[in-house]
Amino acid sequence: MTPIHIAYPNIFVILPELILMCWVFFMMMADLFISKEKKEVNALLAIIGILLSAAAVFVVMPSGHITSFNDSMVSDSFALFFKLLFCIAAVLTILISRKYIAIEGMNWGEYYTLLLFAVSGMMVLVSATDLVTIYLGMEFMALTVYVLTGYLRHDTRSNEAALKYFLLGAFSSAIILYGMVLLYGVTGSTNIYKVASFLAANDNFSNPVMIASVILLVAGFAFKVAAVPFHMWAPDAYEGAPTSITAFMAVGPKAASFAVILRIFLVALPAMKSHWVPIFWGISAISMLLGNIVAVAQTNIKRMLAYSSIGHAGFIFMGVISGTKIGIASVMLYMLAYLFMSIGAFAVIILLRKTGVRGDEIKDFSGFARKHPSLGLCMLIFLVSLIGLPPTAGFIGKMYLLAAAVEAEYYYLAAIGVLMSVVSLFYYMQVAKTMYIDEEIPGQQLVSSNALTLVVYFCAAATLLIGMFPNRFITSALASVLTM
Amino acid sequence: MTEFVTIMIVKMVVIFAAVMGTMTYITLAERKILGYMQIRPGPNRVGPWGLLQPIADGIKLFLKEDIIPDKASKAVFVIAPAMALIPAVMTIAVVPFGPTVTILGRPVDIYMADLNIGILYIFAVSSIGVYGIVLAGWASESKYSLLGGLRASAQMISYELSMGFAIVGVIMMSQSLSMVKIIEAQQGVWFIVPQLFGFIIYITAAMAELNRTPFDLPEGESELVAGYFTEYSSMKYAMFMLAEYINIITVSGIVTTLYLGGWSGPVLPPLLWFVIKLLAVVFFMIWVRATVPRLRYDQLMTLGWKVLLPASIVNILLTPIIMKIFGYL
Amino acid sequence: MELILFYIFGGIAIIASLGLVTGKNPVHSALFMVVVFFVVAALFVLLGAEFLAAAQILVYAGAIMVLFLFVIMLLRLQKEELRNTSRHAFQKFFGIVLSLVFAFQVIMIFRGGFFKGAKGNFPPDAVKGFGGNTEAVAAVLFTDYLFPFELTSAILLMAMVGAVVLTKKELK
Repeated sequence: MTPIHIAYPNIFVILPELILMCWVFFMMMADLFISKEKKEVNALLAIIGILLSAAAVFVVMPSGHITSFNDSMVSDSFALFFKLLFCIAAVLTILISRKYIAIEGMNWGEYYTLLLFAVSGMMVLVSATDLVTIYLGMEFMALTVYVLTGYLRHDTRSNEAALKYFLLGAFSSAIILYGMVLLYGVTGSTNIYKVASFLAANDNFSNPVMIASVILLVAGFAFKVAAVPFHMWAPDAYEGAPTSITAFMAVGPKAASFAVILRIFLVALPAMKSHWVPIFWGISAISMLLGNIVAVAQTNIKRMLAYSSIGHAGFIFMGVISGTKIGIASVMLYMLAYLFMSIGAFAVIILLRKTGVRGDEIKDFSGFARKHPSLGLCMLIFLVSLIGLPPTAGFIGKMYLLAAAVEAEYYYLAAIGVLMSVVSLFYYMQVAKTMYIDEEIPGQQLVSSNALTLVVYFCAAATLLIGMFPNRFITSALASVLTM
Repeated sequence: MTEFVTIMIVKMVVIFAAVMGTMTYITLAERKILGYMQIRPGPNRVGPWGLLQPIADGIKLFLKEDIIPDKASKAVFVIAPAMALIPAVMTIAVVPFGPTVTILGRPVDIYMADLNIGILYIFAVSSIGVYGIVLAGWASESKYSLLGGLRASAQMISYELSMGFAIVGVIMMSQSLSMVKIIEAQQGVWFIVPQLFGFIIYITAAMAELNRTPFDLPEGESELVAGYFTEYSSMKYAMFMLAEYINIITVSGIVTTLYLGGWSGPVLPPLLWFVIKLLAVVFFMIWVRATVPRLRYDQLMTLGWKVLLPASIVNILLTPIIMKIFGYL
Repeated sequence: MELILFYIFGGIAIIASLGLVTGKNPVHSALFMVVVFFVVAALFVLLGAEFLAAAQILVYAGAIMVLFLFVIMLLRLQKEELRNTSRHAFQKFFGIVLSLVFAFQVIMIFRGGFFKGAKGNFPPDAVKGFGGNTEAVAAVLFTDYLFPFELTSAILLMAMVGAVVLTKKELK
């Protein structure tokens, strides 16, 4: 019996997620002592936790590229960028949730607990550099989001959404796992740097096991970001989930999944590039086509945004495919822009939610802008940004993605992207038209929540800010690009 | 090679026969002891002091009509008793009855195998035993059986955890999963002294695993007729009984090994020590059966999850301190 | 000897998995799954990973599948309700085509010389160096894979909270 020497690991690397997880445990305890009327204290606690975690991100930032736990976790500027992004998304989600979950009658502390768990899972995911930690981080994130999707326990749509999401999600996780196993079988390591160096040193380009592994990984991750043809769960999940969670789902897990896609394919599998690029190309093109075209036919705005997010996912894949520095930076930038415009749009939808009124049909927006001009304007900004028109964040994001695609000479893909942005103009403007031109719905009242309106204004401001003064954001995105 | 095989086969036959013999007489002992504890003579008609009673029981069970209910799921109904019995027999393989002795000039271990994962093997195999019960309950297509089967599975899963955690203390102290090494580690002091807490948890959980009174809810006759084997008769019924009593022997053997120093003891030969300790544990279980009334179902679950499980975790945390005190570290 | 055993166990595994997916009765399927777990455990033993084998049986066959059975029994699924075959004709067609494609791929992999990958880090000699397979698992789990190990506990906690949230009758 040889004694095992357990070295004290450098927990500094995982400081943000560690703080968040500890805070979650604290919150679960604290929740017991918070009376039923004061459950909103939980929201405050959750925000404090996230701010602490965000502070930790800034503490870790100056250390640069550090690894720990036998190189299975890394803290680099790429990961920290995404961690900050998740913090912003979580704070905004909590702010828009507070009133909403009270209306839905599900004002329990576990909501925030699970949300924070999801954030810590995503943080683990973007920091992970080992197939094992990547998989665990992904499951951590996914399991929490499944539960949150089904959080409206007495709403059959929510149950259905959660079940679909869970079954298909578990299936896709198994596919990813299969891909990882084959990868490990070939390379003998789960560490992505070691995988990369093995593949660089040994030619496995036409090894059928490797090809199978790449295909499985692509399929699994395409599911996670809801890209066609693995998108079927998205519309139902988006529609059925509590709207605040839909907002979170559209941003957080998607950003985390793209971060890990970038890490796996660009760090671990650059040697197999000519295998995965054509697959991603196809997925990207077909996602943009199908997502945007089907969105036209939707009458439910959550479904419409779901299909449009499929289209957006296709768009973001352009940055992945190009694989260049500018491509990665544009993915990051686009996620940042998408965060504000998407959460903003969902916040406006929540404004319409009243007891007895779901408020998620497009026709519920009739005359919205005439009655509430400033909020209407905000919604217009989000729509314009989602289309990708100046002077908004969406324009900057799409422009850089297109630039990356063109730079890497994927002209057809860029053309499809531009074309489909034009198609998206149609259905987004449909909402704008409903807001501005259609007759008002008599007696329509909004949820009165300062936090909610604050989020709407803040997101609109941020969308405009990124759109008009993009330099600051572009440089920071470029500065924190994944180091390979 | 041939010598090895011969020794193994002889050992297999001897150990199996011994266990079966002991088992049959444990049934008689149980009835006798229960009888005396309740101030009545117990079985005393067949042979002197009822000594031939088990044989009479065996013949009776053999000759009974074997009934398979009409609605029952036949294949599973037939397999279920076997699935209860096989794991019970399999676990005997690693119970160390005695150390290596020399017979006819050859070293022979008085146990089938000393696996390096012995204790885990026992756990793994005995966790399979629940299938027999659950499937018997399901295949009978009878409400009593089904309820019995459901109760059994819930109960066994609940108590398996605390049982597993309880022995972690022993494993920490002996630094090995091998049954023989665990006994060797107890040459100084039996683990029942430093691990008293773990011992209490283990034996409680083990009795629940065995579905013994006071944890015999899966077969609580006052509410479920006979629980999962309500519909069974003849040899299939006998197989469940066999499995139950073999399990009693195995569990007693494990308790002896883990906490009572196994075969170690002064003067008497090791094998005899082991048997004495084993029978003492068996007697203890019968004693408990005569003393403690059956738990209510919610009490059972509360005891499992809210008392034993936390207690077993605390035990794990206490063990290093105990090890320090007893000079193991 | 080892090879023969491998083929025997492999064969049982394949037959049991086929029984698992084609079985009409969920209880039978669950039992086939138990068989698969057993056989996989046996394969672990052949590879000299006794600890994994025991853990496999203990956790999967002994606990998880019992819970599966528990749920199946509680739901009391009847055979007739389970399959409405006519409705899934299209899916069946697709499934068959895709599985043929997959089978073709697998055959191609075999023909292509199968594994030319790196050796794992823990061949039998390395495991002996740790003093046994249990010790080897412990050594790796508590050093190199410490973080995933701890993370798993957080995931399980989270899953527990989630399950309670979704299923508890009255939430306060």
